[in-house]
Amino acid sequence: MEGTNPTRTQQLIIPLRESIIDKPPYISGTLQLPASCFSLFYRTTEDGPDARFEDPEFLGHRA
Amino acid sequence: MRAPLTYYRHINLANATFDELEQLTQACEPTYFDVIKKAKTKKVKMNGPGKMDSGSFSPLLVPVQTNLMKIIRDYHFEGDKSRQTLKIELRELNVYSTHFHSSLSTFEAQQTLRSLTHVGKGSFSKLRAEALPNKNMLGSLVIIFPTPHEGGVMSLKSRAGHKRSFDPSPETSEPDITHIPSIGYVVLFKDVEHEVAPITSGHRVTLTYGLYAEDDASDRPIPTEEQQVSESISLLANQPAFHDAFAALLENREFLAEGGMLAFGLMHNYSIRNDFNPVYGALKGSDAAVYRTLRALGFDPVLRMYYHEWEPDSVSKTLYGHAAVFDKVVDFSDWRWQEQPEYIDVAEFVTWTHGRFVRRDDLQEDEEFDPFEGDEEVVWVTPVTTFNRKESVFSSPNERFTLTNVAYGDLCLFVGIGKAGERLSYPKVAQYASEDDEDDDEEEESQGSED
Repeated sequence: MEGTNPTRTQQLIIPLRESIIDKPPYISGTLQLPASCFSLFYRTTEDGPDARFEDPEFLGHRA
Repeated sequence: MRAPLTYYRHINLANATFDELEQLTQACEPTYFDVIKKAKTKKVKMNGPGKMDSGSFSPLLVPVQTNLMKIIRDYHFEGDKSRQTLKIELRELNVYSTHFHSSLSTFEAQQTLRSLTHVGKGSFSKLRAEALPNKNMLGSLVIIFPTPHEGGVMSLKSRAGHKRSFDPSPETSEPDITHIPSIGYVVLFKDVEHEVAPITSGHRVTLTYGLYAEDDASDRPIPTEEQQVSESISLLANQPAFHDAFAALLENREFLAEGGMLAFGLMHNYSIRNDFNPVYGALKGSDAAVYRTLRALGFDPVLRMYYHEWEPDSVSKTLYGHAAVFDKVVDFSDWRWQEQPEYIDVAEFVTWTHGRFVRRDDLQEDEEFDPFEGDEEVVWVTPVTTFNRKESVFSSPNERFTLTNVAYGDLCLFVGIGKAGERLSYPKVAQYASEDDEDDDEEEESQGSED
């Protein structure tokens, strides 16, 4: 280790230090979850545009 | 005339059919926004995502019961923020679709809508930055369900120039061999601009939550279960950047040409007992990113207690500008200290307890600095932190009185780097303890044979 130039070493290490400290302000990824986590209940009314999907005739027409 | 009946419908977003998703889409409130086209002369209304406010739906997914809390906490609440708590509030559901309201049954309705929007063009969102009206608001969490769709890639851009495109559907659309479904998630902190590209087919269903920070005045210990889940979290956000920077540094023959030791101050607080092994699996955020990357590159990073502060200061006199590194939390009161006329001999204690001497970078220019044979120079990539500080009180009597001393140690991560061209050949720090043990064994064996 003799001959190491501390100043030069400190300069070289800056990008490494910044890669840890200067983090992007976002995170993204994927995560496995139990099947129950994918259930969703939503409110609707009998005459809303989505109600047509309860009608076999409408679904038949779409097919 | 009676009011229309209100009721709740259920959908399983892990395997919903096209019609079920279309029905959910139709239950949403449409959103539109203006786009100026053709040399800024024509304003066109475009489809935004369908929107449902939090009072109109109820997901069984509760982020606080998943690893999402830990992922966000570990990433954002580093250093001084580590005592803050995270709160998550459900905000809205969105559906990006190509069929938004396009199946209206009457021709008139379709024509009316067509005049307002580009029916059949996939919905998308314009570039925007998250507004943070509340000072405690950190940003937002977007969960993307594995519903079949194409397009809808999310683009992220920070003011500092970080950029990322994210589309979880290749990973989440096909459950792996375990058949456990997955979600995609995006956490947006302050000043991130983001947009969603137009959907080209199917439905992209998302939930958006607001994220809030609150100060936690309690001095709560870290629950064991909270420590244990870190390893289950896949790639950490700053891992690729650290990997690239470190790989570039290793290629540079100017950097530690003769090899050396790198050290990292930890950014999180951990439950530490005498054995550090449980901490490796519990490393979080930046600490985990550094540790995992070094391991992936073939190095052997180790956690060590770094004793570098003393009370009174004169205790460290015999260390001559060095700090002491141990592979355990050290009880300095184990030693029968004897006050010398002017000082106590800490260096002798360090040698006796198989500690290592490292040069304190802040004292190497000091007049009193005197290199020891076999000491090591350490390059601190990130400074020592005191989140995992242990103190050991010990007394040192002399003929007249007893002095009370304190040694302060901080848990840090160390890694040995070989000389240029042989970066992996540096004697591994982890070998020290075993080498010492071997030395002891050899001594014992030789004593045994003498007997």
